[in-house]
Amino acid sequence: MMDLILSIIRDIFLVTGSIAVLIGAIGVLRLPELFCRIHAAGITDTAGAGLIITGLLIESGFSLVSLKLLVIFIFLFFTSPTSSHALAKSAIHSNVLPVTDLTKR
Amino acid sequence: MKFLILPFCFLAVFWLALSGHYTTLLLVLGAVSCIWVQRISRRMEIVDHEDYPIHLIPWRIISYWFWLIKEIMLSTWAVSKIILTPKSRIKPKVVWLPVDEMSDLQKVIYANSITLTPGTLTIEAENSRLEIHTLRGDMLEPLERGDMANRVRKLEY
Repeated sequence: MMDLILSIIRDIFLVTGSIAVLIGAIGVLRLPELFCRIHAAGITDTAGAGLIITGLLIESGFSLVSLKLLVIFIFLFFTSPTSSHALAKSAIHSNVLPVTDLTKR
Repeated sequence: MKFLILPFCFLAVFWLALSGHYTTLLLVLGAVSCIWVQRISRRMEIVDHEDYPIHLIPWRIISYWFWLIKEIMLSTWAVSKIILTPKSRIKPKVVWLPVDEMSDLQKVIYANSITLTPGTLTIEAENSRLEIHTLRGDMLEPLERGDMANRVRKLEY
């Protein structure tokens, strides 16, 4: 019984994580310009990866594998904002500026 | 002195956790490489309070992380709705947020937290202010209310 409940919770986490990754991918394709697209990619980075890793943590139980997953989780929370920020900053350095009035385009 | 022992302990725990093999040879190799890495990083003078933020209050950091995860989930929901609604109104906005009375480490935590929540993105970090890009004006409300800034300010002793 306990196994069944755990596997259902795990599946919920894995499926919602995959949906978040999918939404991020759709957003990257359909939002208008670079800086808006970074926001969509951020969903894949944080919510998508976070939910999938939480699902895998439930799957692996209490072991060395789950410790490694936890380390990956923590590292992702430090690297993903750094990469988003680097992307935005390098865009500005090469004169791709954020568009604030989309009606003019 | 604490920056002599701390990196070694950290590296040793990390090695033990990641290797999973506890034979004498591997333990000795691990100890040797931990000492070696610690010596190199001391000679490069990269071991200080910024790399080992032990002056942060542990339980506040952990509760801050849980609060941040809640915020990320809420704003993920908001951004997902924007993405999935056909012809949704996107009004990107760029604003400057003041970060007075924060240490460098707190500024980094604050800027990274802003970038982590979908819908807001730190573009530029200056001494006393951060440049924030947002997908829609109303996503800035929680930041302008200063909820996150207050929590970050309380993280240090």
